[in-house]
Amino acid sequence: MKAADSVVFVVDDDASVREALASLIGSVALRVECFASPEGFLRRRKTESPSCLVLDVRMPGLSGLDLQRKLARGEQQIPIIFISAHGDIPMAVGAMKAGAIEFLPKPFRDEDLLDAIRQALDRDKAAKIRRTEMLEIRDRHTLLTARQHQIMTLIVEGKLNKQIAAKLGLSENTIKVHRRRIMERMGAASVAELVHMIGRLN
Amino acid sequence: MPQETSHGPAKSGGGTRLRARKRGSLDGRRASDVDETASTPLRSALEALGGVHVCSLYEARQDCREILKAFLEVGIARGEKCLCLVSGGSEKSLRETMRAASPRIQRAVESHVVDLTTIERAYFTHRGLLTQRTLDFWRKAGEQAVAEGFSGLRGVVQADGVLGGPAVLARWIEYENSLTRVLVESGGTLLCMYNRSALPAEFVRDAFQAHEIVAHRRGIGNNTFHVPPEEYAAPDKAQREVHRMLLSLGGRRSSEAVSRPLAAKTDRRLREAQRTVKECESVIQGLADDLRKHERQEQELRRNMDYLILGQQITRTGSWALNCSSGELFWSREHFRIFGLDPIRTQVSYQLFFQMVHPDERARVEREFQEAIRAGRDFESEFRIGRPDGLVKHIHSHAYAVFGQPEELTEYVGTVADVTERRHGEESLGSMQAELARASRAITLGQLMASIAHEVNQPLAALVANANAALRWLAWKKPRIDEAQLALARIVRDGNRASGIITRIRALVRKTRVQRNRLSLNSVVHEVLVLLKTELRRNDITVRTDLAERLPPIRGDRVQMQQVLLNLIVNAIEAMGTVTTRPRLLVIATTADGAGVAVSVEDCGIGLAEGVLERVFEPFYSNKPEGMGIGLAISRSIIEAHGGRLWAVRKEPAGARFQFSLPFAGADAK
Repeated sequence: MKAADSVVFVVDDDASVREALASLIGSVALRVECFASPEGFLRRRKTESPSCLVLDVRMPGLSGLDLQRKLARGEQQIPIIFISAHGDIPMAVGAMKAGAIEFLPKPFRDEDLLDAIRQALDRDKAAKIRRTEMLEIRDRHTLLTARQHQIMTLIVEGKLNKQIAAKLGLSENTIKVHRRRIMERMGAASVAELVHMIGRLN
Repeated sequence: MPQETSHGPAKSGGGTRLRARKRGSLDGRRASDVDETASTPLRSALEALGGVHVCSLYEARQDCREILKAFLEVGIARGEKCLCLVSGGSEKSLRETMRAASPRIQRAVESHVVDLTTIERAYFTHRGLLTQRTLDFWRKAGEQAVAEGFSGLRGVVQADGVLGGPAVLARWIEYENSLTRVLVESGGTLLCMYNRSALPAEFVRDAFQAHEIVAHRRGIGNNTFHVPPEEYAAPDKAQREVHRMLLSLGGRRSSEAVSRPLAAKTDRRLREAQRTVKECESVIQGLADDLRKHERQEQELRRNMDYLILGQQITRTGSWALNCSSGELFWSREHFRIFGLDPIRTQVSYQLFFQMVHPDERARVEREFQEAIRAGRDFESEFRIGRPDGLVKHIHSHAYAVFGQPEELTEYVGTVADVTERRHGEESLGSMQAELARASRAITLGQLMASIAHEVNQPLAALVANANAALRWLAWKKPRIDEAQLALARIVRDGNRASGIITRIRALVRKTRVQRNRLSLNSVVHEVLVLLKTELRRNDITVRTDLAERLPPIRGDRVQMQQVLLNLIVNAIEAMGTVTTRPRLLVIATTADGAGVAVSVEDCGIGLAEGVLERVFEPFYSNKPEGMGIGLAISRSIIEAHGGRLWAVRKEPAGARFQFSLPFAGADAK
């Protein structure tokens, strides 16, 4: 497995389990960071690298599910793989509904865990890319003038230059110049792309 | 003439019997060996008498003194209390008579062995003479004499003229007979002296007829003219009287009967000879009585022996005695039976006994016995014996140390009781208790099963993950041996951890004999906390242990100690289940003091009401809906079986503390 900049966080209060997971994940050349408690994990240095969290359900103090809720509220999007020594179905259902990647009962097959980790990292990477794109679109979008924003909205609605010019009381040439500027600023190669971008923004 | 006396109205006057007291005679002979009157026939005859009522007739003071002297001396020699009653006017003269009689009597008067009082003081009330009062007087006097340590009572009544008036034979007989009965009951002897010359002839005749034994001058004998009370009252009185007279005539040897009318006329030698014959007869009679008495005593002894043997059989208790100087050992029949040995063919000995004691216990029992002998203490021990028939018996032996005169241990007299059934009963009761304790442990563990499964699952999960990691490290192009080695080391560690938990669980539910080993309660606390780690975590409970350093060991069963702590901690966890407003803190402490070791388990849970502090230890008392209410009851029985105690106290402001204490293991190493 590549992506040396990816990191897997492990949170489990049992030292044996922590050590074993660190070794297993390390054996597929992934970076691992272990924490004995959710509180320790929350205090970690934040990273922009793709990451995922392998989390024990039941721990003293804050439980794994508590941590999941807390992360969701704090808008820290991180894919979670739950591990549990109890095959507790209601708990598993709750965790999956709240967006967990996987819920693995202990002891688990190493491939199941590693597959889940891989999937989680991919998903996190994709999410991170999406998030980056979004931010770019939003940045570009804020660079548009009020007139350009007005014209762009009409373009996305599918109006022709002639129709826009008539509606705004401007010349068709002026509209053409604005359209070119808008496409440049938003970095869109076509109207279809522009429509897609605006769709994502909303 | 043989003495004849009838005791009570039930007996006919026909049987001739003389009460001879061998002991009394011997005592009399020994005590009077310096006495000049030692061997008069009168005295010999009196010595042979006991528990009778004698009538003495006299004409002269001289005769009176003879019999009085002999009568009192026999009494003094026998250790009897002598009480003389005399009519008021004669008191002084009788006192003088006695003083003159012998120095011995005089001394007895001074030391109140012989007392003198008047008939008026003794018998009379303001209403005059009452028969019942007379009888009461003698009964009480008899009881008092015995109470004062005398061997019996001997009374003398000198009745010259006191009972004057119209004497009626019926009244006489009734009265005399009652008096005789009182005397016989109290073992007393009474001599009534009547002055023949001072009393009306009719009175004397009635008195004469009312007494079985009559003395006159130097003679004493059965009264041929005695009218037994039942004869007097009978309707065929005359006929019976004739019959009695004939019988009395026929019972005598013919020569005597023939010689009797001649006696008055012939020389005194004949009478002397007759008297000698009578005396011989009385001695023979006495010997015969002695023999009968021995036979009776022997029968009684044999019966007592039979009862004793039966008692020993019923109680399964044999007896033994060991002579400390000669080493001679006695065993009762039951002792042989318990030991399964033949009483006839077995030669018992100290060595034989210890050979039969179970080899495991022989040294201990012998040591205990030797120590008892050295200290002159009573001996008590319990041990097993192996019988020749292969049976093993549990024996409880208890013996008293018996000391001789110079405070020297002479022998041990003791018992052996077969307590096999009792021990077996106790053993089965003990195994039932152990079984119950085991069942209770299984229930407690059942409640904890989810936690325990988790506890086992954690190392197993780690183990599997480590194994996979090791494989993957080795699968690298350049295999990572170092990482693989670390993973394998962790596998070993985690495998041991999992198996350790399983071993503990198995120990708690396995059926094993209760063992008593030296163990540290601190280590028991740690072992139980390992099992309960998850359960405590699940319930969000913080544990604080406050264990005494260098805690002295106790002697106990490890599993049962774990069970007690397990119960107490699980209860504490449950008690804190509803606590949300304060940290759930469990404090486990061990302490040692002069008496032993104490362990306390303290929670901050719902606590206990004052009224249930003791009730929680009752079986089937539970304040939990799913509780069976046996945990604490069993815990207490375990602690008490270990010689300790378990109790609960309320804790302020909230919670409860359960505490138990156990004695030290003691010095004996194991």
